[in-house]
Amino acid sequence: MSVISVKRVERDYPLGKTTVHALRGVDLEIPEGSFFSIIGPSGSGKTTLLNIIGCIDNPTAGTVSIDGEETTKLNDKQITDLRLHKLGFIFQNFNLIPVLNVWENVEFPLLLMKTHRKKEIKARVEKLIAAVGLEQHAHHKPAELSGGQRQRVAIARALVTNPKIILADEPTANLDSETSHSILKLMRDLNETEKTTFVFSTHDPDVLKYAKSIVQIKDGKLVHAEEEVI
Amino acid sequence: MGLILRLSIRNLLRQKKRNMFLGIGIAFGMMILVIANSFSTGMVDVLIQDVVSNAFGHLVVSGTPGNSFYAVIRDKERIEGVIREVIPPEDIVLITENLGVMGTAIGNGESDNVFVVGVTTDTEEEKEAFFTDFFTLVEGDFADFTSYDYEYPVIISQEMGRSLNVGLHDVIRLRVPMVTGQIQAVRLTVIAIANANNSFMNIVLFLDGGRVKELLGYRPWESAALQVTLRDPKRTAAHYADLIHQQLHPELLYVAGEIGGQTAQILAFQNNLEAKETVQDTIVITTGDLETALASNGVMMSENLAQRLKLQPGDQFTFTYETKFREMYSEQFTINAIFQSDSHLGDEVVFVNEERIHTVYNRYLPLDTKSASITADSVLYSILATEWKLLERNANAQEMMKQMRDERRIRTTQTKFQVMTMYEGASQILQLEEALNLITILAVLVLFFIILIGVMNTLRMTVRERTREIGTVRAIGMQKRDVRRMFMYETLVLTTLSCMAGVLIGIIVMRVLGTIEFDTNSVLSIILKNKRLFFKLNPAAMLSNFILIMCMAGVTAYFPARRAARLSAVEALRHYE
Repeated sequence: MSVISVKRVERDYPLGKTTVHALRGVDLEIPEGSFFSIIGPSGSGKTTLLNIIGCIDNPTAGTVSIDGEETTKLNDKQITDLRLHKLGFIFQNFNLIPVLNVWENVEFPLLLMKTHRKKEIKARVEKLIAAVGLEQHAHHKPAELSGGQRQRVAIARALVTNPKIILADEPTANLDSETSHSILKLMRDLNETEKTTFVFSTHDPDVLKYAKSIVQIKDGKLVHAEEEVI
Repeated sequence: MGLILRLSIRNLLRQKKRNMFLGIGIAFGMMILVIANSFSTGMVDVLIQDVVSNAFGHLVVSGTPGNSFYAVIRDKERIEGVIREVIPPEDIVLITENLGVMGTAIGNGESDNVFVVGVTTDTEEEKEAFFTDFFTLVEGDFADFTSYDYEYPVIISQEMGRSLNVGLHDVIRLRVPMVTGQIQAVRLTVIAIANANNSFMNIVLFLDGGRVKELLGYRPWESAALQVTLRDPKRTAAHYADLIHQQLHPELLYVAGEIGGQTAQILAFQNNLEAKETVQDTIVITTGDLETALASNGVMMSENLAQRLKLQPGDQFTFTYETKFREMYSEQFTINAIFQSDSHLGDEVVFVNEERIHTVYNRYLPLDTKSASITADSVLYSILATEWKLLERNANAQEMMKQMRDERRIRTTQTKFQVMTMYEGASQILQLEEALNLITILAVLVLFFIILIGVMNTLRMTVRERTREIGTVRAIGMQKRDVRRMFMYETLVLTTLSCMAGVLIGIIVMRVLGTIEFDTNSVLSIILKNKRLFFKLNPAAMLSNFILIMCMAGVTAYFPARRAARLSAVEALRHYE
């Protein structure tokens, strides 16, 4: 069953007097539990597609359904709630909150949910920090961490709410190859253990060997799909 | 602590230097506001507590005979009885006679206008407390204050001593108007030179209350105004004043006595057109001239009484009665008319215009004031004169002045009673406080407006710098209202802490300023207490100012905060500085 369903999605951006067609009728179905990669060169529309799937951008035309819910029909509050409860984000630049330490960054989405008790929060954060191997750095601020460590924090933060889907936009772009591999391995492991759907974009061919499914995007259109690479 | 508040505080600490400068600005503004406010409250406190309440008490009951300028309560005991009946003893600190008069003092080759105040205290302890609390002795001995070894012992200030060129045990010649209107000249002996704790009081000559009464012509049972010092004047003064006012409702003006061995009673009609018309319509004149009888010195006698006394219009008779203070008094009248005895007044009545009797009545209060034969259902009852006129209570000094002006227009000899509190009498001083506070707040609002423009700009800058963060938290799932709240809290926390710091610094600055002694005799000295600036924190005003500043900060922060909340997550994530 598809956890993400993208139908005839178009996204146009006005640029001066012209219009940039970032996505031109994309159709995509991503099954639950996938480790799904979107590849393509810079400017091909990878990030736009991820943003639209992540409900932080709206399509000009077409529909997107997340876990059976059509996002284009939701208002801002409902969309924000959907992002909080069903989606997790990993950004290329990590995007941690600089004034919070590792622990606080990871617990942040849980606190926003306001549904968990202190004990539950503590257990969940502890487990995820351990899973990303940062027990020794729990009280460090992001500025005191390396790039790889920061991305691990971002992964833990994305997973802490137990979301259906994690969207990662070029998660290894700012990391060296060794760290990139360890991060991807971690994501893959978590995909297997937590059964979370991972969708990530990349233009790094090295990364692709971790993907279970791959689609290629070029000039805003899906051009090639490959299933079960590994 | 809530997540949003925690984030706000952390973000505030992130920009330490920038927020510190802003905080200093807000704290400075708050400090100025606190100092200015405390100064005006302190100043009014000095004026009200040390000047107004010392001079007039918290609550004053005064009687003014006719259109005169002096105050006389003819039956002090009765009025004091009303006061004590109305106010429970635990609420009264002191009831004193307000004995004060303006006069001219002549010292050694120098003269000055002075205010003479009589000090009345019931016990030696009260007197002792008054001297020690109120004065700083320079030379002399307070014990001589009531001594009969000196002619009119007086306490003067150093300033007054210089002005009149007199020293200890020197003689001051004083000329003051008496309650009778005559000018009294006496010799005072300086027994102490002492400065009052408020320099406003330095123009006052303090004499023993009993001697001032003697000097001004008050008899022992009389007084000027009676002033009450209350334990909690702010809460109780107006209430008790209203109750006393109700209790002071005047009785009929009635005097029982005799004329040539025949019992007789005097009743008076009011000296106004309506009353005269009623008399004209009700009373049947048998002999004499009604018009003359209705005039301000008009006298009418009942036919039966006139026959018994064999009196005709134009004849004189002497009315004798026992006064309340056990002396007999006789007054001569001339009959203008004789009226039929079967009318409403009874057959032994002398019916006079109130203007003919008020002065006599007040000066020689009758013993019997209750046994008048006339009843309330009589047509004439409503136009009969009363023992005094009770003036309406006033809300403020302006109303009081207007009432005084209006009363002055009516020529009368009737005593007017008035009950007022210092809050009404000194309402202009209280207005002065309001005006000062308004000026302060306006000045500070301008200051805060400038400071808060800084806050707004800083916040706009902060929003710009943190755009990507806003995008991140929005993407993660923070609602718009929480983003807005996060920025609002930053400003409000900064403002709260800065205001608290401002209050604290203000208190320290006031403490320091309060230690500086100003040796000045200028008009400014009125607002000094013990030669020092006096500040009084006004928590209510401080709280309202704080709320006002918070509102201003809230409004200023709202727009940048709303802008931050409205940022599109995708645009914000794309943002690069």
